[in-house]
Amino acid sequence: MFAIAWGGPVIPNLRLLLGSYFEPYVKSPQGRASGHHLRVVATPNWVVQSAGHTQGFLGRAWLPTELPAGFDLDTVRAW
Amino acid sequence: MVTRGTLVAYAFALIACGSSSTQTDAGADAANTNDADVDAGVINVAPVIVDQGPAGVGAVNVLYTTITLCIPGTTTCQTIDHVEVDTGSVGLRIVSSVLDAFLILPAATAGSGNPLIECYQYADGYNWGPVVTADVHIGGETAASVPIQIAGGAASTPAPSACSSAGSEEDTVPTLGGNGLVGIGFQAADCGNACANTTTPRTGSYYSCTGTTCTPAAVPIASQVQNPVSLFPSDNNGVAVELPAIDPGGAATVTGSLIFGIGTASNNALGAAQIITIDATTGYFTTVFADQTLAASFIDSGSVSYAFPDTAIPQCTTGSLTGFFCPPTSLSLMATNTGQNHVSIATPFNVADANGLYGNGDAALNDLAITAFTPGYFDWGLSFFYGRTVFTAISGAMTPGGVGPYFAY
Repeated sequence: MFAIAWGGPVIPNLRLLLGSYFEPYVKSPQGRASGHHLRVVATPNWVVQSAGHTQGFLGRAWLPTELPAGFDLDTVRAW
Repeated sequence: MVTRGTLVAYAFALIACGSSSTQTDAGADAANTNDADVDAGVINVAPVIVDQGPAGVGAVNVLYTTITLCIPGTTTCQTIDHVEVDTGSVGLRIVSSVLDAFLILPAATAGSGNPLIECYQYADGYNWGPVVTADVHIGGETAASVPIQIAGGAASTPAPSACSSAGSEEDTVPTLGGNGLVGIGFQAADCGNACANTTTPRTGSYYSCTGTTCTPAAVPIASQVQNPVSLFPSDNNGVAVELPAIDPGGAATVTGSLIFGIGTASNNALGAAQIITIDATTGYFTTVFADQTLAASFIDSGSVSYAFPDTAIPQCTTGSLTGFFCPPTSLSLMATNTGQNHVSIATPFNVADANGLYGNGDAALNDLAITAFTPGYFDWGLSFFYGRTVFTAISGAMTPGGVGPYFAY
């Protein structure tokens, strides 16, 4: 697995979905995208974005270095 | 220029008074100071400010107001400034560490009789803490016996895994970015049917806790943490956020008005605003931008900036600004927002170099935008609110423009 997307009324269990990337994700500084409806952590090897508002969340996580050649990341989407 | 001193004076005025009638006067006085549109005697307005937030927060594009909490039915009250105003969530949450020891608010219990503790999720994390009831005063309005959450107030009861798996805990002033947060979005309760289901209540929301053991609890909708606006005796069908236009380069601080009710008073008529209705579950409408149809779009005062997918605009690549747009010259762009009612609003907006905007040290930036790494949505955050009056109608509420939920501007 090299990319996942989610969407729905709650945030899925990111600890399960992100595995070993979960702890680095939640411990990463918020950066300038503060506010409560967006969190982005982008590193060269892994990217997680969680977005949305009450009852309507969406997000995506992927491993840039693991994407197959020519893979269209836009096909990994919940919306 | 209105400064924070005005808000402090306002806070003291509320502390000093015990009856709702004098609180009404205090609210109107403060509103007069802050907003020329507000007439004396108008009670449905709370001053709002975009500034750097509580000491040490260094906020950018965060909208704050001041709220007074009282032990229900009493004049034992505490006024709390720098409560974030968020049209993208529902419910009032106060960081436990800012509460005075004398403000002992009655705790809610689950059906089991155990303490009722809530996990409330945002896209970036969660609040974990008990549900209590308080009389809530905002501007000149009062909502009595409102279920609210005390973020971080669960003592030694840790958040269950299904809660903490949403992101980071935000139960302190620095992590929340304010002394509290008031969610005044399109719903009256913060969870709805999913949390009221007595067979399988939603996990990751409400819990009945004893010691360190918590199990999901079913909570009737009226007992869930409430949008305080929907509990006002009047002016309760939604809100309007009114902020002045600011210089393209930003402003050190901005003051405006949070107006309660839609079409209920002389100061909250829809006027020329157009209504786009939204999905009653998700709150989404559709934005078409640069040949992309973004069906999970929303307007949200609790987001700091515009967020949308775009591969053509250069992005900042340095440190904490990675992902923000950094065009060499400001861009004038156009999107179309379409509601479920098929009303479309052509909506111009500008995007400027985030690096330059942040460099000014201003707390209010109107042309700030970040790329949406997730396809399918356009978040119209606080950048969008400057120079506009933005209405959010509560689901099921009657307004002169029809039944909520909707956005209008």
